[in-house]
Amino acid sequence: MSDVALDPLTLTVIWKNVLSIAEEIGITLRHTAYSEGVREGDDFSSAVFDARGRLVSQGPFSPGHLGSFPYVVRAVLDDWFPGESLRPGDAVLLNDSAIGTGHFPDTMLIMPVFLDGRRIGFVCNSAHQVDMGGAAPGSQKVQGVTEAYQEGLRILPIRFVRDGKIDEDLLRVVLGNVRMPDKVQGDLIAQHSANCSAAVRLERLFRDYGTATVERVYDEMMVRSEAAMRAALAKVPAGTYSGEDFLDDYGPDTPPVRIAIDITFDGLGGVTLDYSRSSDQVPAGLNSYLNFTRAYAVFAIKVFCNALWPQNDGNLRPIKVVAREGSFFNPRFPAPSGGRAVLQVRVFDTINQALAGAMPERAMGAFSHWSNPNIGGIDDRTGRAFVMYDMALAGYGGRHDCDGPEGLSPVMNCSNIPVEVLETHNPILVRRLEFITNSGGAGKHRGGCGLRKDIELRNSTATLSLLGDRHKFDPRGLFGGEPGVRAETILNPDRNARSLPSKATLAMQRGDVVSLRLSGAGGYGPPAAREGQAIARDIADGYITAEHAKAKYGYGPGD
Amino acid sequence: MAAGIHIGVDVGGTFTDIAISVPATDRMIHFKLPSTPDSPDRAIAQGVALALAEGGLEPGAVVRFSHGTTVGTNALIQRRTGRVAMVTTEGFRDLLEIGRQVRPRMYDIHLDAPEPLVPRHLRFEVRERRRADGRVHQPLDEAGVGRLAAELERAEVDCVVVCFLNAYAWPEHEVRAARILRKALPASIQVLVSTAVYPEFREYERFSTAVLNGALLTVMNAYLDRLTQGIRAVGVTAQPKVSQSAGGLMSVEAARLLPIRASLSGPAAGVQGAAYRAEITGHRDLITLDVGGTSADVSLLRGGRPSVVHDHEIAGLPLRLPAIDVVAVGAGGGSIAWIDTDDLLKVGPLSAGAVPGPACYGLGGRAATVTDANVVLGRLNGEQLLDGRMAIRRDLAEAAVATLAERLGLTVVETALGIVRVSAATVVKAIRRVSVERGHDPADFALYAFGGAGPLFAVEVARDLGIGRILVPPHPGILCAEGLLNCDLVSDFVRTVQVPGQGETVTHLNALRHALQHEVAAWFAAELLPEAARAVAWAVDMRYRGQNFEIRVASLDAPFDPARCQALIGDFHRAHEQVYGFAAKDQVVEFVNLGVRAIGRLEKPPLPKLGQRAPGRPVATREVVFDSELTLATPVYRRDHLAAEQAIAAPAVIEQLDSTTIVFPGDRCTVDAWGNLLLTLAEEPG
Repeated sequence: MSDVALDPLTLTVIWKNVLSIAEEIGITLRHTAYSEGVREGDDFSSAVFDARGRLVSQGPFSPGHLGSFPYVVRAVLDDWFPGESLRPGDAVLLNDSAIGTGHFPDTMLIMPVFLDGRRIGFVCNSAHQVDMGGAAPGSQKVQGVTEAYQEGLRILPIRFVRDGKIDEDLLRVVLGNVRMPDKVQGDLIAQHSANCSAAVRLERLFRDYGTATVERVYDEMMVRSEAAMRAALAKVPAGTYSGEDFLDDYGPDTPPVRIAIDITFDGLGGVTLDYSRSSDQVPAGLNSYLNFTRAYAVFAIKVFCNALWPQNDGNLRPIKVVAREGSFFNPRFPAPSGGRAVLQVRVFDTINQALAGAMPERAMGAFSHWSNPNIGGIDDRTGRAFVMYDMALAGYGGRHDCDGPEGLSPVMNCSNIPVEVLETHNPILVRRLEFITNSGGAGKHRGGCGLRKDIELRNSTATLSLLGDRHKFDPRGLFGGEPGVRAETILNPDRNARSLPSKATLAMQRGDVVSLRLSGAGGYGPPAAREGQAIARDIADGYITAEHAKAKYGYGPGD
Repeated sequence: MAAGIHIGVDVGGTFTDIAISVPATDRMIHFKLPSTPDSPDRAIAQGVALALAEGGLEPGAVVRFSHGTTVGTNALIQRRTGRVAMVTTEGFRDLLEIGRQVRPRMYDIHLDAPEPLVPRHLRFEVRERRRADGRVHQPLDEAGVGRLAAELERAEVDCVVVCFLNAYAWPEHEVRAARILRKALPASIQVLVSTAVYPEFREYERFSTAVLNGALLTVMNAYLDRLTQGIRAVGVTAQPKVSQSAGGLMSVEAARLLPIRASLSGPAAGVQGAAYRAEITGHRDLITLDVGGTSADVSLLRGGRPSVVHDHEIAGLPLRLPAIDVVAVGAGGGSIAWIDTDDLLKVGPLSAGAVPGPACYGLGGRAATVTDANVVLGRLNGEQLLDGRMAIRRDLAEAAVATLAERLGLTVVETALGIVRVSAATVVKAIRRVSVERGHDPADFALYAFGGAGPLFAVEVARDLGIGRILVPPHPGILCAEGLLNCDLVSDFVRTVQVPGQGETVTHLNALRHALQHEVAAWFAAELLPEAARAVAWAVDMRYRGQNFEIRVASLDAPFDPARCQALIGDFHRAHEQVYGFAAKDQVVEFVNLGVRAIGRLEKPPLPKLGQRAPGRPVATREVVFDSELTLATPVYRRDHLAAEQAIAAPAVIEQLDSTTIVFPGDRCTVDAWGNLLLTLAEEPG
């Protein structure tokens, strides 16, 4: 702590400023990126750190990346670039699963910022690249991937930028290992330029207010944020709350993966989330490295405790995340992890289930589980590689005061990718995109419907990597609400229909249609308590049929 | 013709402002009366009649009547629109409800996206499908469309919107389906196609825009009927013109078909008023700052032209259409200062509004507002405002600020300075969005301050951004109405360039250009514009292949050839470098949209100059706090006493009916021939 006097107005102005610098990094990235995940899906993040590597501010983007960020700069400084080894004009690139966000497609670029030769902090961003090489297009294959070495190019922290310029030799190494070098190159340039403009702003902030004042503000921000987080956590009655759920499997013909979370509030403003009772790490591209585990733990706690202060090093201190080494949620390298994104909804569901009793007004029925498939191959028309990265998202569970909404992004809050964009860039045709009638869990407040998306391949061949779940375990309801209908994945629904496992990788031929049918979301409260008017409206709009109304609610004409 | 009277009317939530230009006598009349939100045309007709009578003018001599309306915006916010049905591609009836699926706030999973304007039971499917390359995958089921007609009629809708996938480039199916429906449905049900509203790529945004337009048809038509009758009843026979979001005016006929184009027009008139006035005084690079009671609107003009953006939201629903890039933030004179749970001082977005208003109005408001802070600091008159029409209670302002001061452990004056500084920081952030985030250094621009509170905010905001010059128009509070007097008739047309193969780009662009030329010619003819008044401005939206956000590059009014395409690509690289700091010259550049703006030049009334008079002298002196260490006895001038070319010694306060301007110590202030104030800020504040 420095002893510079600080007035509350300077605190406000500098705090706002560092928040807007972090946000600006992300906006530049969104506008200049090439990969669909970044430019359409907002699958990226940005942050500002202080000179010691403490997180100061983050842009309001993907929470999975947000939660992984806080420790990355310190890890890079401690283990790879200690002391003064980073110079002005340098930037460090990495995608290692353990240091970064938990799988190879996310590349992080970290740039130190200097003022008059002295390091004053770091600006940083991460982006989900369309491909990082490895066993299947998109680098998210689950089935048959037993080691991280099969998942593509692993980049431990390297000095990727020198004197403000991307190192051509290193860039060539990266581009030589990925399926879509143009897009990856475009995104890396976008990442670098987003950092550059933010660095100028950070420099100016320090010049205008003086290093001592800004650092004093950082300290104060963190002290206040920590106190606010503790106050929010202290409102939850002390005790341990447990939740348990299962993933279908970790690929075809494998056993379920147990997710068990024990959440202990100490009543004094601290919370520990312990994942140790969960399954052991699995020999498939699905494991959750500790950074990723931590990310969604923090997200869920913030949501439940309504602790909405902007994230920095301070408000993360009271949240402790523990997982047994070698377990699914804290695997040892080289555990593969490409498809770990599918977990986030289930982790949230499990925490939701654990805390529902303590906080019934903040809880909801289980989400509809999302699907994150990739279809990739060589486009017959151009002879070039294509990777169709897609995100199918459906409804929320019922809540204490209203139904779950239809078709809203769960947890990570990504945006879907327009049909016209998918069809322009890939040899595919989307045949349907619609809600599944009768799929939302019945209840006093109904769960949102599942969603069906049918995609036809219009190319000679391609590889499909499925990344879904909820084929085998119900999306549960709460307080008497019924579960939503389980998910299915069907190949060629209109001819020789064949049911597919949720995480299979398979070859597709021209004309094949993959039909993703996401689960419905869970209901809230007993169906008998549902108002007749709401049932009638659901029938009129076709979210449910009259038969379903009769069977689930005992509702008939004239009621 | 030149002697005819021009009227501009700007309808706000609180006041309806009227500006009347009388070129024959080089006069400009300003009039203000309370709005009638339930039926805005009432205040308009009444105000026009009163203003004309006050000026001794004949209603029959009015040759142009231009006005800005928020009727559509309000109807959407309140969801009091027409009943709309949608007809879409089989398999996609839920697309409008699915949307892009982002919840409004990341950490609030209980706050949902707004419901779609068309409920599920009014969304119908027909069998048809075009592929992205235009090939027919499934022919349009014309009989199926016909069968829908009966159902649509039973549903008692006002409008049917036809929305098909990939129609942005291949609209034939939409057009055919609409034709069948029009034939089968009674004339009272309007039928429109998504591509007629805005034929751009990305289905959800296009469908949403078309549906929003459909929902406003009945609202806007009813309003325009009442307005036309209302002003005719007071003797004005000129056809009203309606202000558009992208700047410029449209005819009543155009507004009836595309009411959505008026939905974001509120702030556009002020920007154009600023552009017109500033240009005459030789200022073409401007940042406009319009501060009222509740919000501050900022925008940026380069070379006298505002920038236009295409992504918007209205009532939480996405909207794609060109609109002047205006960023609005919750910072105004009425913005309330408060202490957040983090013990920090915040200002806005909550506003005390007109009632109860700031504490100093003495109407029962207790919360300290920006206006109260300015009264405490002596920057606003502590006895009366609005030329004595409103008494000001300085004691109440001080009491309100003192409540906050106590909790912050600061003096009343320090707290008042803090309120002003924090609200200025909000405005600064908004200006950064329209300048720095788009690659412009605000220091290269002059700040054009208007709205009742704009001139009060201006100096602090300018200094924070390194801006050296500030302009204040003669009547800051009424610039929007004045701006409407100086607009042209405008219409924008756009076509998406369907993924060009390299070699065919030129042919393809020329084909689209040809199609657009036809649309433009039809519009010129429909608006009865003489040859000499016609102008066009072409532009191409471009991006690096694989990117998703385009940059608009201006293009000549001439056929495309390979050399011109190369030149455009060069312009694009430069623009990209300016906005994002780099150009990827080895990457393929895509032509995404071809757009053209058709302009029908309307005659502009001249701006009156100040008459000859002796330089104004101070009418009073009061203590003004400039910063925590600087309080000075400061001369107060009346704005209407100031003469052309007069220099006002700093420090000074310049008061007028609708605004107050502060000249800080060390800065310079002069009056130009038209009565604008020009402030030049000292390099380093004292």
